[in-house]
Amino acid sequence: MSQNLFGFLHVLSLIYLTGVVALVIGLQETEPGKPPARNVLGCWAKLLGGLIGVGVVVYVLSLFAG
Amino acid sequence: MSPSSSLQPALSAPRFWLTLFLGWLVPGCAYLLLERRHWRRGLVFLVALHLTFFIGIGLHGGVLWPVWNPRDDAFSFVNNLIFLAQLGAGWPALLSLLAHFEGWRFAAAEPRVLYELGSFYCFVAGVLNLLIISQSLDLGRKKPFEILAKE
Repeated sequence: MSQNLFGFLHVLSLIYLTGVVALVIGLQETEPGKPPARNVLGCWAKLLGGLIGVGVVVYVLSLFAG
Repeated sequence: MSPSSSLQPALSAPRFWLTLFLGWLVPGCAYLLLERRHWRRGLVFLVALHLTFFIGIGLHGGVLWPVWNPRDDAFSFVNNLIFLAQLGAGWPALLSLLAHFEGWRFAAAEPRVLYELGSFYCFVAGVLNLLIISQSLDLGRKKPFEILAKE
């Protein structure tokens, strides 16, 4: 397996898994009968943003690792 | 009367244990066993968790029996916790574990390149199912807010 495909699968997994977690948490936070899209998308954005932030910090630190 | 004392159990004891057991056995099913107004969420959870777990299986991940002896060099406490969390996914997790013991073709295989990633999918499905079970039991133990407001 090429490294490109390996990395691509991990990025896709990041998007998918945060989506599933956001779906479960967002739906649970929504009152029955109300549209859940706002809660789910908000939760997804926060999760993805947080994880991308962590990724950027790790990448910057790796630049100093030699 | 305080708000907490006005919350009456809405699920009988047998129904509570049935929801707990079936909610664990069939991932995402716990909400389907509650009131009818929760069925759509239950269906979404059911599909999402099964899909997540089986994507993990498709990536050659799965549930492997960990080493439990702390004196063994291969022992890892984190692996044991991950195993317990993966078991939260119910029947797919049990099937995956059984497949490893029986040596089935689709059993989890550690040397595979995507084993770690696939197993992480199974881990996420297990943890989310435990979260769904706890939330559904919490909902089942309390009267809905609108009923409380009328009282």
